[in-house]
Amino acid sequence: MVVDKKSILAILMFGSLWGLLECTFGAFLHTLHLPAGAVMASIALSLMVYTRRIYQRSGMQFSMAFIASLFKLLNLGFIGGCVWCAMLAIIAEGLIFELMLLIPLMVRFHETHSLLSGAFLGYATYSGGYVLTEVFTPLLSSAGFFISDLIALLPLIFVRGFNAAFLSSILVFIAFRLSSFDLSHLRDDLYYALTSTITLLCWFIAFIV
Amino acid sequence: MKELIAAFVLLSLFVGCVSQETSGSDEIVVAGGVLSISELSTACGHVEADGHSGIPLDCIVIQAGVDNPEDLSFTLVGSDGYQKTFNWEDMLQGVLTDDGLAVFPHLPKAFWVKDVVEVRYGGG
Repeated sequence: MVVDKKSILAILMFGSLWGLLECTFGAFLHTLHLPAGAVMASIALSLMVYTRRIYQRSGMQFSMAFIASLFKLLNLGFIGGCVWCAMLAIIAEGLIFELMLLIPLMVRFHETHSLLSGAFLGYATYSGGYVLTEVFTPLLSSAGFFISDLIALLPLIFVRGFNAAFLSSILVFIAFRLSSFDLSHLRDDLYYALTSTITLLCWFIAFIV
Repeated sequence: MKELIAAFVLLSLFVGCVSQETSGSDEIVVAGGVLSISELSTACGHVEADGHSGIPLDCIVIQAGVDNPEDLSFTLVGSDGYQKTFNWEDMLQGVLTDDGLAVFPHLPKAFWVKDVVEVRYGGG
């Protein structure tokens, strides 16, 4: 039961960190016309990999993505009016990560080859998330969905996926190394105080930015 | 060693992927014909859309001589291959900025196409 409480607080904290980064660093990258999607997908992936290694709970990363997506509700100025589209993109990343790690072969590969699995997961998370967003964004807006647009876009998505693959390989490698620091082994009172404070701080910063 | 090679390959691909160029051309292909942006600008003028000033897309289509545009759909193609398809009602609200960005103030930014090089049309 104690482990459950810790997992919930971890979902809130890491989801909030992810959401805050999307609102601040992601928006900043957008303004510089840098590949914000690939960079943010890689950062998100490293958070998901770290928490999966520490807490060993499937479903946790999807929940983190959901929490992170809620930050987009505070970030209306940056996303051009389609808050659901931006939220969907984040949730899609969490969903694809969870689906990928349902494959036993992928789990074994992930545990033994951090750099390559990071690249593979980064590529899949980014490209899959991009495709899902391209499908669902028209359905959530007044514009129509044209399959010809998606087919024409696939080569571009698959090429851009290499940006995410490269960055993810590095960040996932770092996340593997950082997972030797097991946050969940902190003393209970310290853990609760730390995670709650960081979560509240993330929401506070996102609210005032 | 294998992972280092993989990292090198990924780095090469990354460098290739982030290097982007814009066409910087004064011409755009509309319905199969080549039109000059500066001439379109003179003929259609500029309007404001979501803080962007640009040539109305409906005027560009009309200048290209497309008949019955209200019955057609229009695909805007960027220099990087990104493309989006719109109906005439959307085209009426869109503008093409001087740097080639197609802006649709009523749609999410995922529908905005950068560095538009071609406008195609098809059955609605």
